[in-house]
Amino acid sequence: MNVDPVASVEHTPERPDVQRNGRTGLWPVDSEWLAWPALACGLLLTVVVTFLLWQRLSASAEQRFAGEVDRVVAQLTQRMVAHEQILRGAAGLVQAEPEVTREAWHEYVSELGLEHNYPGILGVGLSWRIPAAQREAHERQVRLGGVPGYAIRPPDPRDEYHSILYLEPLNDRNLKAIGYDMNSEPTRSAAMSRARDTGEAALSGKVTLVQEGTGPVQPGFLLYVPLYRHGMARDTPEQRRQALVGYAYSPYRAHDLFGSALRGYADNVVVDIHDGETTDPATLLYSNGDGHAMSVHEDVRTLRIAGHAWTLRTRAPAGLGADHLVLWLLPVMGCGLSTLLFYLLRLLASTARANSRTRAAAHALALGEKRLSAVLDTAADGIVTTDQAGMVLTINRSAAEIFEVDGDSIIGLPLERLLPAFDGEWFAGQEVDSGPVERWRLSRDVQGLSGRRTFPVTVSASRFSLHDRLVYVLLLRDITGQIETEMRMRLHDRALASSSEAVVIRDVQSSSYPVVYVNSAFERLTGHSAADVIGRPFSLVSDEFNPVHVVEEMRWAIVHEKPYSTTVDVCGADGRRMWVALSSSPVRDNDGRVTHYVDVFGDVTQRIEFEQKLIRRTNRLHTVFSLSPDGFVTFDESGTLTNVNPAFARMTHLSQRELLGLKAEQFDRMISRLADPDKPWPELVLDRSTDEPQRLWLLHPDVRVIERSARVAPEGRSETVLYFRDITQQFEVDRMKSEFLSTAAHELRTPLASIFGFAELLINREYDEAARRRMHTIIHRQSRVLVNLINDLLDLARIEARAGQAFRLEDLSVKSIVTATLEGLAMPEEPGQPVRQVTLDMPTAVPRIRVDHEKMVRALSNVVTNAFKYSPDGGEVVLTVCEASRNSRLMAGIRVTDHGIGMTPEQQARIFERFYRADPSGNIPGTGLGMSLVKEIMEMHGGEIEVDSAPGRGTAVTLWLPVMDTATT
Amino acid sequence: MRARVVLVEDQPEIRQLIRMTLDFGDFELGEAIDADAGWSLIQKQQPDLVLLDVMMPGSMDGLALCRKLRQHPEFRSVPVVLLTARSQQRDIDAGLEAGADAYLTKPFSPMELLERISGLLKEPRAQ
Repeated sequence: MNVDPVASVEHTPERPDVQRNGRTGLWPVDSEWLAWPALACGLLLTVVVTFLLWQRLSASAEQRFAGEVDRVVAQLTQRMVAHEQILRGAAGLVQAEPEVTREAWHEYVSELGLEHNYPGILGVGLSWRIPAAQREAHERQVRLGGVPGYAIRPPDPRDEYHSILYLEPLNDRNLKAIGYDMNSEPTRSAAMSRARDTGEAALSGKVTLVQEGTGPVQPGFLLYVPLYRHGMARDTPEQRRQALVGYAYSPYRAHDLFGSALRGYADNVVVDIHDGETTDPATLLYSNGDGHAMSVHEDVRTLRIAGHAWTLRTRAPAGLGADHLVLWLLPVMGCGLSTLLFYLLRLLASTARANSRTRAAAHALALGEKRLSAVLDTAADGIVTTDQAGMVLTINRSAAEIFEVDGDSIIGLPLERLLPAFDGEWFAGQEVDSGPVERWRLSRDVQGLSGRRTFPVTVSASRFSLHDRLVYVLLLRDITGQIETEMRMRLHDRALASSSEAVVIRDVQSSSYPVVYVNSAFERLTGHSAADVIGRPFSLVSDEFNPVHVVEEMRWAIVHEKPYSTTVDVCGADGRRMWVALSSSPVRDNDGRVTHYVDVFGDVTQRIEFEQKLIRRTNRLHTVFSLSPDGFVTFDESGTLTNVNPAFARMTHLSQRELLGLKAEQFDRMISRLADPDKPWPELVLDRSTDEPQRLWLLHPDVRVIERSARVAPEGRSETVLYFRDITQQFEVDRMKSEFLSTAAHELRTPLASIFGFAELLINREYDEAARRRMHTIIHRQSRVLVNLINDLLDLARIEARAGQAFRLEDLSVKSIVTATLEGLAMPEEPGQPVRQVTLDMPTAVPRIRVDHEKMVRALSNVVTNAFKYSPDGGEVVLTVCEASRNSRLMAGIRVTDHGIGMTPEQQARIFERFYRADPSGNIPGTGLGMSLVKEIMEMHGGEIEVDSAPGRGTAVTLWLPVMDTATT
Repeated sequence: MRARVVLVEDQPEIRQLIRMTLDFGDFELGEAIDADAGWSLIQKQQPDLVLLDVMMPGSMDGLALCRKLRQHPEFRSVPVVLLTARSQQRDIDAGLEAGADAYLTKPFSPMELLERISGLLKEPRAQ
């Protein structure tokens, strides 16, 4: 679209007017006819004005002309009156002195200063009347008077003669007139006669003066004033004829006279003076006209001067003053202006018509222009036009925004301010170097300048010629965003390409969902090259390998345009099974339609394996944690209890529910309330691993000794794990060992003390026989106690140490055990004491048991011996063999029943304690280890001990052993 | 005047041994088989010296009785000799702490016992 941007921008502010004009028009359409009335009006006006002006000018000219005429007449009249006065003066002179001399005349005339004061007058003369009779005498007299050659001319004889006597100034020309008889010539004579008869001055008609010589002949005339004889009546013409003596007269050359008289009076008019009452050219005396055009003004009047008529024709020359010019100029200009107006109107009309013809086009153009303007302003691209020097002509809104300038303020300024690259030099260079205007295009990226900020701009420049001037149009685009976008796109591309996650983009608008993009990770992971899969459908998850529900889910997701993610195992590049975490999301276009699906998946085989390992391990740990007899409590980094295992709950009888979420201090207080207040309480400190376990002495819910260790996770979150180990038993064993040692030492030292003490007494002092014997007996008995004690201890230690390994188990009949036991007891403990008897109650069919014979005999012996010892008053001791089902097991029982002192329940509870003796008085000998040994042996055989006793009634102890079978003896 | 000695000992053999040992000197011996009986006897006999077995059945052991004597104004200064089978230093310390003047471990030499008793009686304890 070739649009003049200059025009468009200039028109922009006037757009409203353009619109209005477009609709109504400045000039009515088809109004050409209006030119005609306008012309008529113009002309009419011109006529009227011209007429009025002419009238006014005419009146004025008339007035002026009349004035001029009056001035001429007055002057002329006045002059002639003056001349008449001169002659009257001369007449007076002659009246006063009838014999006037030539000298007096001369003097008079000289004083008049004719030539100076009265130009045009040839002279003032005196014509004398000479009767015919006196002619001779007169002539003589005059000749004598100093005028030689004087003669009256013409000499023809007449009744009287009139001779010019004097004519002053008497120059050569006037000299010719001396002696001339003017009366001889009719014209002069008529005037003379009239003067004589009227007594008044009389002017002659047109004559040729006698003074006229060889030069140009002027018309002439003469003025006569009659001279009468002094003293004669002259009241009637007759009288006057009688009294006449002569005339004073002046000859006039008409041209000279009128010329001088009218000088300064008739400059503006043309004056013709005719002799007589007509304007016959023959009678023309004078005219100052020079043949120029005459105006219409003319004045013809008849003057009566000295009884003679002159006709004065006064005319104004053409263009009286300057008025005629105006008068001509006005209509000319009026006509001209009218015509001009006419043509202007015609032109306007034709323009309007042209407008009318092109209205639609113009309207369209205006719309187009408006649209263009709108486009320019709304164009996202900046558009700047410059002249060929690079001065900004127009700048659209976007460009102004790009450069953050006020658009109007930059107009007329060099573009360089916005685009430093486009400086004056550049423009100058383009003009010279570049190709033809219409071919010239340019596109380049430059830096734009906005304040201090520079930014990249893509400039597309073109130019066109407008009225022989170049106009550059620059299309600008701030490509900061574009570059950023491109960079971001490149980054995205690179990120996509370099991603370790495989990326597949599928076009879901096609029914087969062909692949449109895969990245290199895809190729690496799947072993498919991009060329293989692009344009084809591809599914990582196939029916072949994957559970149906996974495939179905994915299809469902695509159909319902949902994202989905899953972890599946698929066939990898080298055919190996591979776990991938696949996440697939729909990509929507601007209308919200799903166009593509992006699948991202990565090889998570290691992770999955690791996870599985971790899960297994976690499960293991959890199991350990749960099953551990030791308590575990964990705190997170904020010191909040996060985990507690069942063992700890068991230890403390605190439920997990009440412990979870406690703070470390609360937890510590809660546990410390369970503790033995007499024992030191090691305060719980988190975030520090303990070097040594701390020992807690609990009284509640049970008496326990617990070792508490703290471990802080070496790295990561500083979790603290508390480890509670119930060492009650261990502690008890330790304590028991210690106590055992202590007790055993005590038990050993006690008999030793007797042995040592009595022996020392025996050494140091003499005793009588009886005393000695008594002391020896004590020493012996205590030695036996010592030996038994040592044997029992050794047996016990052996059994414990070997823990059954040294057992020689045999299938034996209970009977053999019983028999061997009773045989072993068939000797007195103390020499001389009676052997105690046992009542045997044994069925014929006795069960067989699998036991170590020796150990079992020992155990039974201890039980039987106790029965003897604790029934000191005798009483029957019964040994019973029985069989019974205990805890679903068939057991063989060997029961030893006495009727001795019996035991309290407290004593019964302690009978298996080492060195415990139900009789502490020392009356009943024993080591206190017998029942301990029995217990150990029974436990080794998987048997049980049943004790049934009551103080004063006796005791029944049953040894139960698993039955192998029952044999008949 | 014969010195009064009270013996508290559960073992008859040891009581007999000490009785025979004290026959060497001029002593008036009172015997008790446990701490409670011993306490009654001491209060009754106002002994000049007390021999105490440490490990005895009953509610009080020898150490407890010893402490009881030391807390009693009347018997605070009565010399106490502990006889015990416990020979560890810990036990000796516990005994001395309870206020005993001498600590003899079993087995002991009767002659040495005699000497210690004589010594303690000759030099009354400084208050």
